Amino acid sequence: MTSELWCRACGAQAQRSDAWCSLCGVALDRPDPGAARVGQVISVKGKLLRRNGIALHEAGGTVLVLLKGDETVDMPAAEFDAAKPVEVPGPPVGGAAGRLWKALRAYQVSQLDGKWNPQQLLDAALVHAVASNGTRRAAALDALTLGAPDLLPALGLTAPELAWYQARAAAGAGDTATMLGWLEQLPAQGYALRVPMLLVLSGDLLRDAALGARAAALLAPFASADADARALHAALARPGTVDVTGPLVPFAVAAESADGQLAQWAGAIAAAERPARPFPNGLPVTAAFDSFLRFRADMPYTSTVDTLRWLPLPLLDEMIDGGTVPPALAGQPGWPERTAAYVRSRLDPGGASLADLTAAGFTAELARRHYLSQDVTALDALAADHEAVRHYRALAAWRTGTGRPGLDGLRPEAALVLSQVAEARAAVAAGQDAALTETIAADPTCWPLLWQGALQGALRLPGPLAGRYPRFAEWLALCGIQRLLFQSRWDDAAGAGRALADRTRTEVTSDEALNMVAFAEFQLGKPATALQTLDEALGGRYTTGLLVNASVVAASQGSVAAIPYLAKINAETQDPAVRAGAVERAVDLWRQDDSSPEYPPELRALVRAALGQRQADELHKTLVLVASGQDREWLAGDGAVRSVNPAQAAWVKYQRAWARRKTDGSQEGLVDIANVLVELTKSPSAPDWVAQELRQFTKNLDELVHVDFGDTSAVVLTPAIEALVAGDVLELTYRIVLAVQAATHTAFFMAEENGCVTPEYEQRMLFAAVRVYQQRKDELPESDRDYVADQVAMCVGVTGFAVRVGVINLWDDATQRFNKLVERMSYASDYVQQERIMRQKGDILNRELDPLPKRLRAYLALLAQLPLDDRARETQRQITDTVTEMEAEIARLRPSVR
Amino acid sequence: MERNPYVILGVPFGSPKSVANAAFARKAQALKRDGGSLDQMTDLTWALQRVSVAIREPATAMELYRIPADPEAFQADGDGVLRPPPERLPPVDGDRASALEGLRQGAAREYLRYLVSVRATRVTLPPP
Repeated sequence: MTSELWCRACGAQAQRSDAWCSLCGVALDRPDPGAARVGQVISVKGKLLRRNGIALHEAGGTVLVLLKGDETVDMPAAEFDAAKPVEVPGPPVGGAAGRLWKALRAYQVSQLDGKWNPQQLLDAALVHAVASNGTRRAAALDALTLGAPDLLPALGLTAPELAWYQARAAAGAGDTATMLGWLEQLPAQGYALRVPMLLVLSGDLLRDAALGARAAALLAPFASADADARALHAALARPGTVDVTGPLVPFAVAAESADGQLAQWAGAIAAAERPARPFPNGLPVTAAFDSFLRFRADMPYTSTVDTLRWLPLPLLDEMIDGGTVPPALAGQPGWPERTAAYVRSRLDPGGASLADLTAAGFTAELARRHYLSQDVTALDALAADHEAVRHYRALAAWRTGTGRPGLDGLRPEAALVLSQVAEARAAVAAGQDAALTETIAADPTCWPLLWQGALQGALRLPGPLAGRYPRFAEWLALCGIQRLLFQSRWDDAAGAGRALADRTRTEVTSDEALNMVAFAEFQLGKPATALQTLDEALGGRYTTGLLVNASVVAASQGSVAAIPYLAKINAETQDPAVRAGAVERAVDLWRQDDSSPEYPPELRALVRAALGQRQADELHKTLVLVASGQDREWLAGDGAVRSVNPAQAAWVKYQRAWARRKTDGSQEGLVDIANVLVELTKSPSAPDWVAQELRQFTKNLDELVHVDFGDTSAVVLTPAIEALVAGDVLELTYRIVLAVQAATHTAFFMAEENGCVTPEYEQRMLFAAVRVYQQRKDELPESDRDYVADQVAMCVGVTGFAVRVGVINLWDDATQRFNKLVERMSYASDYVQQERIMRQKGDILNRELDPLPKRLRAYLALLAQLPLDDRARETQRQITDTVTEMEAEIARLRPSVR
Repeated sequence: MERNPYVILGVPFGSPKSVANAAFARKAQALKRDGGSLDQMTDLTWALQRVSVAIREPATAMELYRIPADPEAFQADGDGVLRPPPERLPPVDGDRASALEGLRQGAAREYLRYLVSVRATRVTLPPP
């Protein structure tokens, strides 16, 4: 232990009787605070005001107080003590010099009132600071407290002593790195109190290896004599460089708590024994040590990655080989990177990745994996001289059946099995029966190698072996039934299959036997019985294959019987291609089934479900078409259809438009279809079917629109025609003919309803079409030219006729209102009223009547350019007469308006 | 009666083209040897054509009866020479006594550091 008496100047220990250091000769004085009143500030009464005074010196019962500038006053100590003290802001200091420095600092930053000459304070502080070794030490401590190390050099202390004080100040502030820097300036053998100082800050030292190493160097000289120093040094030193078990127990005793547990744990580690109570938490290496000791003692232990990861590999291997480490830990994170692959390969070789196996150099398992995955290239890339590689290469030849499999390179146990397989196969090849051995019967993996022999019925399993290996006996029986089917021996196959299904306890065998029985029954012309047999097999666990077979048999009784099985495949199978195959088959069966004209509900559900899933283009198209034809309301409504590309989306949109049109039952919906066709036709990625559908749609419109004018069934087609014309997607013939037809039907209809088409409409539909005709008639196909010319002439004539009627209707309506105004004029009493009526008459004449003959003249202009038949010529004459009359009437009325 | 190309060839459903070809050759030879009819030969040829060309994806073929319906029925479960269990990786060589001593030293150092942290809570800075 460090003596309380020691030399602060050089750090040496001293004897209790010493007054001076025997090594450096400096006095051993402790820090001395000096005169108690010096540096205290009091409030002093002046002539007018109170002012602050500060004690500079005291001696003989008198205190010298500095009042203002250099003005001082001697004050009896009792009076000074009775004066009101003034608190000086700043950290607590202990000595006379420290109080003067503190007051000066506060005064200089205006935290303390005063009008002192600062030099007076500085001079007095120095005098008090250097009065003795004790006051120097007290002043040094105060200077550091005030954060003024610049004052230290004037104190005349040794450099080590100043370093010691600065180290302690840094330690007090928790600045470990600075503390170490000052301690490193001390004599290596001196200042033994550094040990508790370092211990106090050991948290930082344990956390930071670099700081810890510096501290360890500072502690080394004391490690032999001081238990704390020895323990702290061992704890901080680089592992393996210092004995850590030696100081363990003594130090545990020193650090001991009331229960004495620390020393017991230390003793357990020192003796490599299990402690009576578990080690404290948070010590993973110690926990790993404890786990291993417990493993060796056949006791339960903590088997987590966090603990086991700290075990050296030989010890972990011992535990793995002892079978006490759960393989599941292999897949958990936390194993050290350098050993993770090895540990995973050891703990769970079947689950380790190829990368792990490669990293661990586990060639045998790599060879097995490549063999199982039939990756011949990877297997060939492994070291050929490795025993496992040779084995698996030889085995691969047996499994794939390529080349002539041999026994070279095989491990003995494999060579034994396969040599017997080879013998059996040789016997079968020679046309002989082969008696099977127990070795073969016990190894199910080699049975498929004998399938051909089993199919030929050339294998004989001795009775006792059949009893001991029933699964093999059943396998041979299955092969036998298969042979009967391949020989078309349906009755024999059905009998043998039923017998096997009845006696086996294995469902997979039973199901397969029944499957073959059903096939035989189907071949015997008993589909109902076959389906019953398959339904029996479908109880419990079953395969997609069994459902397919049931659908095949059921299909012979009609699509409705087969669809439920196909729906089940679609619902239960993961493979999208298989699911799609089932849906396609169901649709095909129903389409080909004349006996089922109604759309079966199960097919409806199946198609709906399939349309909600991703489908290939062709099947998607078929399914949407089926839904459009058979499930209109669903498709027209919010039926969920998944489209995975623009072409599919376009098809859905088009068919949905048709479904809506058909659901509504009205022709108005045709405009929606026309709009969709326009949109798709103009799309840069228009699918091929769009042009075809547009052509068919147009053709249908053309047929429907060619009815007698006045037949309203054609009028409802006109919005669709308008949409196609506006979209400019029609072939030229249809562009002209459909437009003029639509215009004519509409004009005729309006005239019959005592109305008239608007000028805008006749311009857009009729006049524009005639202009197109006149400008592009040479582009028309030769075969269409006369037809289009006739259509245009006829439609212009008929429209002119209808518009004339409509215009007369408008004329009559306007002239009636005009005449009423004339009548009102005769009763008008004042000028204002007369003016208003004149204006209204003018509006009717100019805005309503005047344009009417002009509209009709436009028809006359058109007719003049077209080849006319008699009827058209009659129309032309009537229009001419009407125009003449109207213009004459307008001329007559003109003077009566403004 | 269902015409099933796999059954006619005498091969399991889904057999690859190579197996179908081999079966065809074997059956054709037998027909020739045994004086089989023209119809039988026609059947055999049809079956080979179906398996080799028409049935591209047996898994999605829904119109054919499958024998076997479950190939697993002919592939018995269990390990054996052709389906070996995972290999065992032998342990690394190493002196277990030394390893245990190393572990003890590691535990001692860790515990000593723990003791230092406990002791530090009971020590104060020395006087100046």
